[in-house]
Amino acid sequence: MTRSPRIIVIGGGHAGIEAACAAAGMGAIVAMITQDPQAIGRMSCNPAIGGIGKGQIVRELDAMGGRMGLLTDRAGIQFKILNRRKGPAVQSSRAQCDRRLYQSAAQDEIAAIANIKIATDNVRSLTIENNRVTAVIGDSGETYPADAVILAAGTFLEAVTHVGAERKSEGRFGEPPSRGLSGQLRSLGFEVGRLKTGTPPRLDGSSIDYSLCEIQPGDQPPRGFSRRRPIPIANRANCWLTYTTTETHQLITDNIGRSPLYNGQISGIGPRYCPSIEDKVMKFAEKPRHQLFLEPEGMGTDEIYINGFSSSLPAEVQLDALRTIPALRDVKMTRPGYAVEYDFFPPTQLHLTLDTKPINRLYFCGQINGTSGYEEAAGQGFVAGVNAVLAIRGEEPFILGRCESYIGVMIDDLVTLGVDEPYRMFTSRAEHRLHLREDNTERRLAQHGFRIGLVPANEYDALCRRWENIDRCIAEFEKTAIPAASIPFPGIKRQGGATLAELLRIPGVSFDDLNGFGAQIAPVETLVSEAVEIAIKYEGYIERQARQIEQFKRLESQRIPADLHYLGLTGLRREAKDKFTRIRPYTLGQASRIPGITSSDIAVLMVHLRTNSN
Amino acid sequence: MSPSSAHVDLTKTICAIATPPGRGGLGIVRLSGPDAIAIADRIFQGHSKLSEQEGYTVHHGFAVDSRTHAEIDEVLATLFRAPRSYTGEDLVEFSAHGGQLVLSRIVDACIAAEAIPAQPGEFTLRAFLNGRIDLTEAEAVADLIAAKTDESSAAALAQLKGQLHEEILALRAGIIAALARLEIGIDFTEEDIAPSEIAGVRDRIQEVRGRVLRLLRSYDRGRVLREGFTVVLAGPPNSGKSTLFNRLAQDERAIVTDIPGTTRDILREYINLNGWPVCILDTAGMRESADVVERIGVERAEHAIKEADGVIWLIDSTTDVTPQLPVIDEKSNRTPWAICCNKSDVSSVLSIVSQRLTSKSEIASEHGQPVEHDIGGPDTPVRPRCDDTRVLEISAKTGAGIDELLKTVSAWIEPIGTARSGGTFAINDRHRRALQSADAALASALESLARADGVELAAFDARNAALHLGEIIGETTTEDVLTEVFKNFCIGK
Ligand SMILES: Cc1cc2nc3c(=O)[nH]c(=O)nc-3n(C[C@H](O)[C@H](O)[C@H](O)COP(=O)(O)OP(=O)(O)OC[C@H]3O[C@@H](n4cnc5c(N)ncnc54)[C@H](O)[C@@H]3O)c2cc1C
Ligand SMILES: Nc1nc2c(ncn2[C@@H]2O[C@H](COP(=O)(O)OP(=O)(O)O)[C@@H](O)[C@H]2O)c(=O)[nH]1
Ligand SMILES: [Mg+2]
Repeated sequence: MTRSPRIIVIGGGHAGIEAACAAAGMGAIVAMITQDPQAIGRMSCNPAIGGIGKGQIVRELDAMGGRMGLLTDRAGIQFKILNRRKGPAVQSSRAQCDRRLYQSAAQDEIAAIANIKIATDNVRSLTIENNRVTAVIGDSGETYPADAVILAAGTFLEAVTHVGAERKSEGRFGEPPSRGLSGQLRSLGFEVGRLKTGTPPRLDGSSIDYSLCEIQPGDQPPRGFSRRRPIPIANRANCWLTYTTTETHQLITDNIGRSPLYNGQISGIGPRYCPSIEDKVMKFAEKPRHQLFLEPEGMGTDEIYINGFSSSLPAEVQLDALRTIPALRDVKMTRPGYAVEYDFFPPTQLHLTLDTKPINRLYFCGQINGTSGYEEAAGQGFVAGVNAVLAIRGEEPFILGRCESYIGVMIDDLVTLGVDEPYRMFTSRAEHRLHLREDNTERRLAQHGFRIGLVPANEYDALCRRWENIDRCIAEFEKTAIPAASIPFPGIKRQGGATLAELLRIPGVSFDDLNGFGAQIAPVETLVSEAVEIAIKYEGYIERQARQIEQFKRLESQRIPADLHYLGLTGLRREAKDKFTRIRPYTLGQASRIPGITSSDIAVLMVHLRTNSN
Repeated sequence: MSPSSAHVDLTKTICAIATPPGRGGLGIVRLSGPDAIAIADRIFQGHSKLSEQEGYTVHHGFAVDSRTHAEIDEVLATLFRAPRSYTGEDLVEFSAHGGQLVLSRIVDACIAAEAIPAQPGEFTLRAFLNGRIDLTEAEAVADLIAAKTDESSAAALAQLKGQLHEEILALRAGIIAALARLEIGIDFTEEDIAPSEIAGVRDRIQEVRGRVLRLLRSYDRGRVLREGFTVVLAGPPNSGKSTLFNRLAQDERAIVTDIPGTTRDILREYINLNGWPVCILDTAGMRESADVVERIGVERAEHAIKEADGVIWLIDSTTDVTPQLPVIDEKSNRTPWAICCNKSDVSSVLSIVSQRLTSKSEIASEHGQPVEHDIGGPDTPVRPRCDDTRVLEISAKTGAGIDELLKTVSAWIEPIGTARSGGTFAINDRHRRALQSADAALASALESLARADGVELAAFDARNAALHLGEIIGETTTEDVLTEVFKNFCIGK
């Protein structure tokens, strides 16, 4: 028997956790090397998981055997579904978490897995033999041999934090950066770029006048993330909404020269969609006010995270600006906001497996790939962890399609398009959005988790039984007729009445309303009734989306040999040759998405693929 | 087999006759590929070698068969050098006067000199593969070559220059702007879309939809320009259809006989009527027949009538007219008809037929008053109401009344000719289907916008509408589009 794969995961952030758990769950011996085991699972920024487009990623991880959903359910103190008034395809779960609880839940989870060993070290360099990584070396001097290495170093590489003019070599507030690694990778042929992100100040909750804020309660009843292993959850805290004022904007404008973002001190590119308060005020000058959410950092603490006020202005300016907001007139700041600049690797250097192109068996995941957000990091970590094991075993790679998951969309975007600002998930990035819903997540993806061994058979069987119930219920609704006399809608009063499905399609009619029409519907779990309702109400759209997916799959299923020599292909434009050579697309579908590639390039490629295969 | 799925080996040089068969006068043989000039030199004898000449030059000389050294014909060789040629490759065109046979011999000579025969559509496919043209342009080229008259060429040229391309780009931009507003509302809670803004998005989509519909209307015009206005000659056997056909086509293509039912298949010929291509179809006689071959001909004739843009129904004035009157399925179509009492040189039945028709079928009389009646019994379908039906008297033999008949046909085409809303767009069938899909998607988007929870559904529809428009200009080329576009190409284009 061959020995178990040995995998090293560098980093204990959200990417590192999923990578380690997935690899260990598939039987690998995992060493998680991190600078500070106490910081494993730390939420660098706001204490919340999920949100629009991101909630879907967490649900996807849960469906395939990932950890983030479970950890969030354990640490959540307020649960809310966003976009409630819109349709099911764009509704996303979000949970406010207790920061310390999340961290300890993550650390407990790792500790409970026997084949994950934690090593406290700062990885300084990689050992490369024949273009393959074979070991990593820590500051301690120790050499850790490995069959594969997963780098999940987050914002730490050559990181610098900024608070006003104050600049520190830090990966995160109070934590040392990682030095040397990105330099070595550059010398190995990697392209290295620089990005920045920022975090808002933390406030002392007892100094806030909540009577001047709008309360933002959680959903009743609250909904957790995990469907495989649901646990009891509760809303234990509220969030609050308040706004900046013109006074705030004036004060920031007056001090803009002191912001490292505006005086040239920071050169890394920050996210456009998650702008600092400086950016909001300067770039959206026509807006009279901006939303600010006050979010609790946890249960045992009065600390408040002020979402929407990310800043790298000097601490005293931040405080002055905060105090122009009525609810914060007497606020105390427990920690100023700051910005961090860090090295990242443009992700077009990756395969869809997250294996790097220059070096074999070296995987990159999380913030170092130019993304931003815990969920995005976790999604990549999972894919890297699974693929590292599969590659060592010599098995087919694990590649999620754009038409089946947000994680697939994200990785395809990263690898094919690259990033020019920190990449964050949006639902509009998914062209098959109507299919990528939270309600059908397990149906889309659980079979992958089951196949790779991360979803146990009993959990998978339970899911299958639920799907059977859903299908049975839909079939029944399609044929159960309700007599015209029991139907309160004049428009539908035709001879012979209507089926339950037809009634359910009427806007405003819900699953539960059907009993009111004299139907005898056996009680079902909410997850079933919800799925039935969505399947029937949106049937037309779901079908159209399904047809598109079928069509999409045709180019997507045409694999391109990994060793195809593009330079030797006649008829291909020079630019196309270069791009294909650099990206090395996995399928014709991926090739067609490379920026600057035209339909004729794809036609040529298609012609060559067919010619070669005959 | 469509070219996009065939072997296209760009290292090979291809050749074919580039002008449609059956047309007299000048014909062209085209050679394209890396060795086009070398191969051309092997079969061309002129003052100097083509390989020593620059692109965009014309040379006089003789085509010879390099195997026998036999002279084939006097030719003009036009030289294009890559990438400045139609295909983007080295390209040589031989123009010759000698008709089909001579052109075939030139092709043979090229193949003997190591060219390979082009597959259908391969020149255009190569042009496309070499980035010389986008899909709309590729189709426009096909249309250009197929265009039968001056006016068609003008419309096809306009499309080639990208008018349609620009209009589609503008429409897509309109949709994408509306879509962007919806998407922002979905992805950023702070930017949620207000009901008042929904109205703005709706207006925008409505505006685009209006323009899509206008483009669709210009389809009819485009189709007529491309395929011709189709006029079917129908009527009982021996009524003189083939004689009329020959007179209109001015040559002797159809067999004219005294034996009823000789014309067993459909013949077609294009004529130029005031600049419009008119496609005349000669059909077999419409009568019950025991002869299998003839029955098939009759079925084809019925089908042709259904598809026609106009019908000329002939009646043999020298025999009893009653059984010769037309019988048409009421639902069939709104196509205009002309009923011609032929052989006016022998006898005149105009007044009888006019009277029979107005009293026996539901057609417009001289004063536009439709009278309802059956032609042949209670269950027989009757002529649909049609203002254009006219009864004429002609002689296919002497030509009497033919001018009047042609005037009638011109009047049928006129409304299409003046429907020039929104510029000259040559919309072909593929464009039409894409536009129809875009229209359906936009209609669905408007419906969804009215729903409380329909923002992302509307976004889905709008995205699809943009995709459908993109298909027209090759922006989102799927394998389907490629295959479809190139499969309609004939050899030599
Ligand atoms: C200041 C700040 C503001 C942010 N703002 C936002 C925001 O507004 N919105 C948003 O969505 N996201 C934000 N984030 C990003 C979010 O925190 C990250 O996307 C997410 O944590 C990335 O996860 P990760 O696993 O890639 O890396 P991290 O969570 O950063 O984890 C990196 C891990 O790697 C370890 N490590 C690094 N180098 C080495 C080494 N050489 N040897 C050993 N261990 C090493 C670290 O100790 C750490 O455990 C912010 C982050 C920071 C720091
Ligand atoms: N006198 C006369 N004979 C005609 C005329 N048109 C056709 N014919 C004759 O009618 C016969 C049948 O004509 P043909 O065109 O073959 O009829 P089809 O069966 O309808 O195609 C031939 O002998 C023609 O010469 C006409 O206008 N005048
Ligand atoms: Mg005939």
